[in-house]
Amino acid sequence: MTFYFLGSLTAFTNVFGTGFAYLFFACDYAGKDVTPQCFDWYLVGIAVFGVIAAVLAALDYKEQAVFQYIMMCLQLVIVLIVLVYAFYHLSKPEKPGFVLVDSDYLGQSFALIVLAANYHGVFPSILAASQKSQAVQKSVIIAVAITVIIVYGSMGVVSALVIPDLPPNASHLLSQEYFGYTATTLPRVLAALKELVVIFPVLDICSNAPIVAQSLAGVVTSWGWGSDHAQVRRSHPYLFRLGRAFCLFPAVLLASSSHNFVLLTQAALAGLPGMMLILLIMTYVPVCYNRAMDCLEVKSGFDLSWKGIRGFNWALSLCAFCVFCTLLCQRLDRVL
Amino acid sequence: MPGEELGYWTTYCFLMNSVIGAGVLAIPQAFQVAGVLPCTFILVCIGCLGWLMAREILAITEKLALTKAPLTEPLLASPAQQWDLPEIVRELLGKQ
Repeated sequence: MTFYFLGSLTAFTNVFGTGFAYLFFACDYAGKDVTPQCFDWYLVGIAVFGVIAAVLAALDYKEQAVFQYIMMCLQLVIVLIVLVYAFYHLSKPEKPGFVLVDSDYLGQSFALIVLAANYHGVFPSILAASQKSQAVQKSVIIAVAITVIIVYGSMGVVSALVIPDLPPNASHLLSQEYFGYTATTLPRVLAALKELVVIFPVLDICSNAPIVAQSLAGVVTSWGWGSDHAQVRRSHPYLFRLGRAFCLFPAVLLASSSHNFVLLTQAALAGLPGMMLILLIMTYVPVCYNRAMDCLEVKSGFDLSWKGIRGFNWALSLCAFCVFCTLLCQRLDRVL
Repeated sequence: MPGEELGYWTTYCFLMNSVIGAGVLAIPQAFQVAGVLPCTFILVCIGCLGWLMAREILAITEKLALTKAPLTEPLLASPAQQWDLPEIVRELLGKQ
């Protein structure tokens, strides 16, 4: 989990830096060598991101709640704009063709969807800060799962129907430009909204990174102090805040040391982190849960009452491992 | 965290903000290259499994804390132990 969180933070830093240079200084990396000037702007971008994310990570959850509310509302507005624009585009007489099923890319898309719908790593640390009852916490889990399916499902379907071609390269994905949001395709009155949509992926990372940094800090303190880590946090709150902010440092360092920084984004879009999650979450957690039921006799409020859960978990774990091996073989086959 | 009390919607906001970002970049590409039908099916399955995994992770968390299992126990090498587990269990214990 430490490597996963650290990798996520590095990817966030990379995306922000690349998007910053692309959006504000028109550094386009499509099929070209990165110029020294663009790399300088990339470094400026990750420095800006480092400062913003470190400040937010140092705040407790409740202290950054207003910021997170704003970002959440912004996300919903952006998703609505994208959907409305897509439906408007669909109403035009000339409709681009779309893919109904393409088995060649099924593996890559599977890994991408797993990556996109992953939120399990941050679940315990966020729910730990919630004083609500288990019933309420369970309903939050259901609400998040349903929202993810609705939002991603609708975005995926309409984007597949509207986008005529694949995005030319990863850097264009950073700005949502593949939705056709250019100055010439939207009326002038919508220019402000266009800018908001274009800039959104970069902004969104600012709300995501502090949450991941806090989870990473939780993991690291668990490593260092074991079961006493909660007490250590309570007795040294400001030191712990500093530690949370410091969690961003290795990610910024890693991202700034990469001269081929566009490759990081391309690796993410090729589904490599998703493959890691298939192994980490879908293979490992069901086995752990079965072992917990065997070894630990106490009941949990989050236990599932379904009697077949043990067999289901073994089957799920086996299937997920087979999927991981298949994807790995496909990936190696393409590389070699 | 000590002194923090996140409400329902705040918790929901934090969780949604932690998940939506990556998908905005990845989902359109996934649906476009592999097709609408299989991706919709995969998304629904992953969403439901996500709910299941979340329940299992939290159940493991609570069980570990209730038994106060030592860190040397092989089971505790699971990722759940390394997440912020004692904190959530402390909260859960407080409710019981």
